[in-house]
Amino acid sequence: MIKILAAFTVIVCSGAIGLIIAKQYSLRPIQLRNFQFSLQMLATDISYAAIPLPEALLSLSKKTDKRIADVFKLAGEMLNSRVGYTADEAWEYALSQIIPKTALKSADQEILINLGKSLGLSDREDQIKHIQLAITQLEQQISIAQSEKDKNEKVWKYLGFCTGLMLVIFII
Amino acid sequence: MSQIRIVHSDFIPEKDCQIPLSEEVLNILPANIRTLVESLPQDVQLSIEEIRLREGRPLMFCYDSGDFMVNSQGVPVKDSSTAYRVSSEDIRRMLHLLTKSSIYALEEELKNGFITISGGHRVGLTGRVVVEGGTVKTIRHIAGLNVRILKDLHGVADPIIPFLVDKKNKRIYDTLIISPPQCGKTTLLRDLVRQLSNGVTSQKLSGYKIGLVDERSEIAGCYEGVPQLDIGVRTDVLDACPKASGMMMLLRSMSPQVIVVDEIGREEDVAAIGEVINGGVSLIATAHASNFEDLQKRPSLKILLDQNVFERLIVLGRSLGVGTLEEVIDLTCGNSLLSHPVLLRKKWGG
Repeated sequence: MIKILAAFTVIVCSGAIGLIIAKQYSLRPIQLRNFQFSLQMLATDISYAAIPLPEALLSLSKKTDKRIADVFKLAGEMLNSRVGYTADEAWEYALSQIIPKTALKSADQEILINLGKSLGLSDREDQIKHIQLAITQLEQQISIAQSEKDKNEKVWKYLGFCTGLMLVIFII
Repeated sequence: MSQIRIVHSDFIPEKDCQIPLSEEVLNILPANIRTLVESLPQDVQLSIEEIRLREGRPLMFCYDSGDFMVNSQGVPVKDSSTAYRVSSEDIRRMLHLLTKSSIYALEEELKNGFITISGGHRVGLTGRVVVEGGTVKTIRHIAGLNVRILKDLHGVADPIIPFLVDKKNKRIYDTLIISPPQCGKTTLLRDLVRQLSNGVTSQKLSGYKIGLVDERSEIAGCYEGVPQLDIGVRTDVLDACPKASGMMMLLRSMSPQVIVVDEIGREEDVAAIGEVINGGVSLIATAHASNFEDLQKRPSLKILLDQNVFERLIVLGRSLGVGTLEEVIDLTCGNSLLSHPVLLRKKWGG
């Protein structure tokens, strides 16, 4: 009886691990896409309404996908607090705090950090150019993430269970 | 200590101009410069009127009778070779803090060459100017910043108000205030607006509805449209608005009893002033000129004088120090109403 229970637990656990990894693969393109949308909105806020960066970031955090919204919220709050942070510092700090909690990879984070370096200190046209560049770079990441997802998502979904099953067979 | 005394010996701030260096100013300074400023003795901090950052050159502080620099420990020095030098990183950080990292939202301000921050203080900018079609488009590569700390003095208009009130008709005379630069014209105008708007009990005046056209954001120090300085409870402000169109807008929409404008002198102002006077609204205006003869030399102002638009002329100067009331002239009959010059305030704050 105990044996069956233990075997069951092993299968469930390894299966769950497999599912979590698979989920990460499927989430990454979605979250990248959401980042792209958010940056597009930021570009609009800057070019048409000339909304100051802290306000623009905070209003984005309310409109965008919950899982990435915290990046905008944290950066916006840091800039609003007026304790001497520049836009790039606030942005980089927010990314370093929030990105590990998302499905995004360090290559994605790198693109976003680079965008931060040019945020705030130039005229509208220049800001838009930098944001567009980041959007294009994210597009590349999305297609990479998509193909990785196609390749790996199914594999991990089953791999977890199969590994669990194999373990059980070996042990028994 | 002896180095600090260089500053002390010629400047001891008076009680009534002790307006502390406010958070609003400190907040826009990069951390290391902020530390330098905060390490200055309290009374030296209070005396600062301008903080100047020029890239690659010493950080400089101006007060009413000169300037001084500080070394990297925050000790005031007169020798520029030992002084703290402003780095390009300092300028970059300050621009971030000053603009809330949103230079793109300040295109108009950059065209004018200054940014008004909360608290009404102004930061002047210099750098590489981009010109398009003959007009200034923006400033790129900003390399020089000048923080002008605003000192708002209450009560400087006290000696003047009795001359401006027409007790019989319960109105304010149409008044022109003239003064050379840096004699406290704007500070006086602000206090005048505040007092006339709030009402003056000693003159048995209840407040007037005042419309203020603040083209250069100097009088009300508006930040995002909201006056940062006390300009009275019955004052409406058109911030950064050209004077001529501003006067007409106020006249049509805000039913003011008094319209106040700073630095008139262009041709289009003359027509608008005519409308104001004929509309039964009192006008208080200022102009750059050191005396009545100077005024006559300026064509558009001469037209106004010839048309007897103004009833009172107030002349400021510095014969007894900054902020001296030199003359008050009744323009309807040409008599002087003041027997001798009066100092409006012992120490003028800006």
